[in-house]
Amino acid sequence: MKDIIERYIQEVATRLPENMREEVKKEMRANIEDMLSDSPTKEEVISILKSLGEPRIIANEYRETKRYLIAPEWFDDYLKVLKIVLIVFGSVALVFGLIDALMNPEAVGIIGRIAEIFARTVSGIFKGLLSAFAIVTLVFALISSYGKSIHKKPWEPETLPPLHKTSQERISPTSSIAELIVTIIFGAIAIYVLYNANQYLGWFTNDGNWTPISQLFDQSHVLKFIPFFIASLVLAVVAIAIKIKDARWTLGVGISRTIHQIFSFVVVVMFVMSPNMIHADFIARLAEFFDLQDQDIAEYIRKACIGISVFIGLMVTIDLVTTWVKTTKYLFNRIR
Amino acid sequence: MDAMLVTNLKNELRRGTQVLAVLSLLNHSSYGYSLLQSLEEKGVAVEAGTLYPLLRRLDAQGLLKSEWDTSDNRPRKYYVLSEEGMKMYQILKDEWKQIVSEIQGILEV
Repeated sequence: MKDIIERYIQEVATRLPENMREEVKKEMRANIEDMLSDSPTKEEVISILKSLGEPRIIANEYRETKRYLIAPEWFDDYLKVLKIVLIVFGSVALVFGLIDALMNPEAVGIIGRIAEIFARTVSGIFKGLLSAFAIVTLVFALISSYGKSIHKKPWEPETLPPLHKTSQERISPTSSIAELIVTIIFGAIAIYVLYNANQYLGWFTNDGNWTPISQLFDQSHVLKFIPFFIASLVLAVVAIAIKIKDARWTLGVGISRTIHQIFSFVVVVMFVMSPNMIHADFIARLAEFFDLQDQDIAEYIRKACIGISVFIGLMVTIDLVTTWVKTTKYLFNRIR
Repeated sequence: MDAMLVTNLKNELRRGTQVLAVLSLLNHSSYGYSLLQSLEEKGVAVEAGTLYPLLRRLDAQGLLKSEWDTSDNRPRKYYVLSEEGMKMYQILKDEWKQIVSEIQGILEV
């Protein structure tokens, strides 16, 4: 008889904070004893416990504050961000899972290979989604619990975003998300290839296997640029994230895009134009192949690099002009 | 009509009045079960599972004072209004009268 009461009290107490546990146990014991007759039957005890209700519910009543992982007022934003991040992480994990599975096969036989690729890709996607979910949830849980104390500025109706005048004014989130996915995938692949340029880029001979006999780039030189390429990719991701968040051509979108484009342009041009970038061996091989002097080849390469730089510069200019045309138009409409 | 919705809305409507009912009875010190019985006698329906945690919360908020009486062979925790609790009781009582007259005015039209 006593046993079931103690079991009930224990179930409530384990759900409470340590510091109130003992006191609540004592209180509950006293209250329940008061409710029982002097020689209670089992049925009586059961009916008293039923009237008190489920341990989980009464424990929640005992708590002084309501607890949430994600506060209700943040929940909509949480779901929106979660959706985008899951799509991006899922697609990126799919592509990299496939590449990894295709490039480093372990299984033998066609069926084994197919099963391996399938299994590794699926598990890669699963891991990606799981970590994306964990990160987003953690960030929003932190915002939920500390956001109130940080965000002290009272809300002002003036800060509300303006009405969208036309549907064209809105940047479709789908296209921005697609842009984000493509940027991350190609950016990461490019950085990976450059980081391992001594294996992937060079002069190859095919004697049954492709073996590099001369590297395209001076690897130590390439490695110096890797941090800048990574920074450029991060800036790109940030710029697109701002675009997804604002979904309009706001000043923030314009500025972040400009910073990213100019930074990336400078990095790429410095990379392409830096002297001694192309490995001397590679130039010698080209010269031999085309039956030309080394310095002629070097000169052609230099000209090609200038051409590439000018071309990229043109692209960046076009992009920036369209960005700022849209941004000014948006800002102008807003003022009106 | 959705029975769940009826229960929810009724509980929501009652929730605040329970605090007022409890405060009104704690001029004299009283323990959990006796309070439950007094409320029942007066026809105020409060569940045991709601009342006991409520007493504890009011105690934590400083509206009640509590003391264990261990002189009897069964220990009991006695609650009584604190200074603060008395003030709060007055405030809530006035508020209640205000609410009743306001709502009454609407309902009688």
